[in-house]
Amino acid sequence: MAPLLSVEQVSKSFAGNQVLKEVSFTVEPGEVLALVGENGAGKSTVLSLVTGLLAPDSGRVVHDGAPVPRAWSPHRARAAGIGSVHQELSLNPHQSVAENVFLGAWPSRRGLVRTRDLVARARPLLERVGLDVDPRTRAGRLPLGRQQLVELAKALAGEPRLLILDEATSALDEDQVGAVFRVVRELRDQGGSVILVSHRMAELFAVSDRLTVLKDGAVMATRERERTDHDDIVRLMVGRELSDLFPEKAAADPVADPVAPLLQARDLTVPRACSSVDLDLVPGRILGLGGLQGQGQREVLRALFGLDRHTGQITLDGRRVRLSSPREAIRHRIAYVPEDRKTEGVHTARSVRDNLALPSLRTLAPANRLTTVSRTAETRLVADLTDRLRIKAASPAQEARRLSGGNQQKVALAKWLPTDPRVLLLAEPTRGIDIGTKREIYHLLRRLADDGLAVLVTSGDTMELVGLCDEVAVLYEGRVVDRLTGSALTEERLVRASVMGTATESDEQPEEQADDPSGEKTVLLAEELVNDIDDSDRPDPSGSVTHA
Amino acid sequence: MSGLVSVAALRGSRPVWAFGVLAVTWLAAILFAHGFDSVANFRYLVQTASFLGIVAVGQTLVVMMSGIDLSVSGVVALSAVVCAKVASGTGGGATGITVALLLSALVGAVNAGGVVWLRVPPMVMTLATGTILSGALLVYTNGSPSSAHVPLLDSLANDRLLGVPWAFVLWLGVAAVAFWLLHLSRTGRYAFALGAGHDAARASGVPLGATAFTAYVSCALLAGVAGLVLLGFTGTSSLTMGNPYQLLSIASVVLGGTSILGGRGHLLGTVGGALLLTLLTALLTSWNLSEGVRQVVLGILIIGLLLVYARERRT
Repeated sequence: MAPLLSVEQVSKSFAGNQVLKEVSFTVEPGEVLALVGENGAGKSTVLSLVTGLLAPDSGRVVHDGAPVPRAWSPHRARAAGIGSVHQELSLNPHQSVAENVFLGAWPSRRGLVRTRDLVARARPLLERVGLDVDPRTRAGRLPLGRQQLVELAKALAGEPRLLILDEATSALDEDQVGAVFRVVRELRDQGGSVILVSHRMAELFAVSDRLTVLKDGAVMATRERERTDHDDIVRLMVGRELSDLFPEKAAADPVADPVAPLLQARDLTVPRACSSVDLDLVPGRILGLGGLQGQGQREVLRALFGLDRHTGQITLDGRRVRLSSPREAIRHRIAYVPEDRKTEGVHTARSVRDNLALPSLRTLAPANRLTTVSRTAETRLVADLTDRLRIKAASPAQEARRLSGGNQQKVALAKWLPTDPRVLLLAEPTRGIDIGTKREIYHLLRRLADDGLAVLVTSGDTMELVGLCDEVAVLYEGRVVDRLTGSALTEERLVRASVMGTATESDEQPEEQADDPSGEKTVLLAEELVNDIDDSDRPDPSGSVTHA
Repeated sequence: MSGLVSVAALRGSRPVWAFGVLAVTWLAAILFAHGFDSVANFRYLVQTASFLGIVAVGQTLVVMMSGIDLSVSGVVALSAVVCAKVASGTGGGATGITVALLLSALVGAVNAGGVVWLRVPPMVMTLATGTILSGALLVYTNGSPSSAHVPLLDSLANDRLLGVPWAFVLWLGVAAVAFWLLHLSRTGRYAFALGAGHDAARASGVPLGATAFTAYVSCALLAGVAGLVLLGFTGTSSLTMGNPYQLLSIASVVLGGTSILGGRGHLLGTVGGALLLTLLTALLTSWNLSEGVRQVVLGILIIGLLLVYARERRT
């Protein structure tokens, strides 16, 4: 059978920098192809050629037996049956879910949109992606993971024969990923094709038929799933073993050798997000915040950085502090690397230099706000940081939007280092980042902790929390339900606490699960729980709270 | 100052385009239009460009941090009318100037306060203060603004320093100070950061309020200065004397290569933009076009030039 899509010898350069070198691959009907590679390997670029966002310098894209026309565009690609979902959301937050799903193709009569039709037609699509929400809900009110599923429903509304999922699962929890994979399998069984990009190896192996590995803009190999394994793929991606992904943990045992906490939060409550959270941030240690997507992890961090209004007591070095704005938090030497790096972490339209210098302007122009910024000191600071974190930029004047995601994240982190922080807050520090950069960031965080920083990390990646953190507090509906440390900090216990919302007392399996080694029950249970949450809209955990 | 002017960075930069188009237009005017080849004409052009230019420099500061000031026409009139009234009454010239500038700065502070504290969108806030100003001036003057002869303003607007109009010297001085503020000082960095992205600026500890206050107060103050120079130039004040400077100041900023969304651009581009717009106006006038036709053509020219080099890029 002729391939549905074949990418033939395409090359692409940006400003003299070749990002694709004669890349070729094919996607057959009824096949799921995984595109694997580190960030900057060229995955997104090659997909942009397929969806019509970019045109190749040479080579061609053949879709459905014919080369795509010169005037290929996202709109035409969609009309030709290519649907895509990206990590970045493209929903209009002020419109309803249904309006977003059918954006641009609303059923109408005499120029008036027929809302009832719209809602009725959206329902089955939402059901298909496992989303139990009222189609009339405003999209912006949904948590990130669910918005991502709305994106998927939107792509399915175009009835694609080729579905492209570019990091589309990175904001999803495991159940939501399961729903996405159901759609993928369903599509494949009906003869459709899927191209899947993800940094989570397990996901790729769970659904793909073949894996094409890209490295530095060239295809390294294409492998049948049955004839390869994780290590093989990772070797092709990076040319090194996975074993040293995570650094050694802190040596000190907190029970035998207690250290006074640097930052203590007591009864921390953010309306509609988290309630009565107690946290101790200890110098030299990395604390993780785990749980399913959207259980208040993000808001805890934002509150500690003065971004979200909160109640409760926060003490720093034993002294009560009020963190009512980021400026105050920064004054107390708290630094924050946000989840949304393109709107909060870095200024994408500004240069690497400007981004790195921004939090340090106070020292680069010390007297007052009208002081001239010292160009030499700035250059030295920027050179030092790019060097230290190995930020790959063409020059310090390069705009941050031209950097790969991993390098952007390095900038978002690096810019705080000259401000000499004592507390470092990071939300999803490696989301959508290649494995090599992940490793670098893990090791950097551990080095910073060893230098005496107190680090707090949220992550939806269980392996990351277990591999990186000294202790993990599990949030469920805005409350800490379990704290795992030492040998109790395992992926299994973390997942169990996350989906059950209760502390796990021991390492042993509960009786009824003893003969269920596949863990299917846990997943089922999780689905039920998530459905429960769906029914009650958003939980409002602040209702039952009293605070000082 | 290596980063200040680097040849590579200048190529393809929109502020450079502004000066390029300016040079070409000026050359064409000298070659093909009547009367543009004399020193007197050149002098007159830069003198009249100064009025617009001073307002536009202030506007640049505001636009750069992703704001906009639609009260400048009101402030120009406010400053001229108040100064004329005080000076022609009992106060005298110096008092008139002081009161006018203080009031101008106050308007800027009100604009900033509304934008920062009440979170009114800049366009709405400044349009409202501008409207309030015109109304208040009508009440204050009873509809008949006064004329006044203030010697200091008279010489500032009409006299020359070594053959160069004082107004132009003043404009260049103002531009130099604003250049330093925007491109060299810490406040300038904050303004760019704010313009490039509010959330990222906030999460990086940029003082949002202080930066907005600096920009809006400077802008209003400069509009006030322009009003005073205009008062000196015409010897009389009017309620509508600021009107031409409202949209032309914004057009100067954008033709000068600054992004209307903020965060990108250069102050010197605005100087080129103001000169270019003044030159185009003079050219159209020299062709004896009626006021109405002139405005239509000028508007079309502005759109055309924007299309050529100052479009917003797609994201």
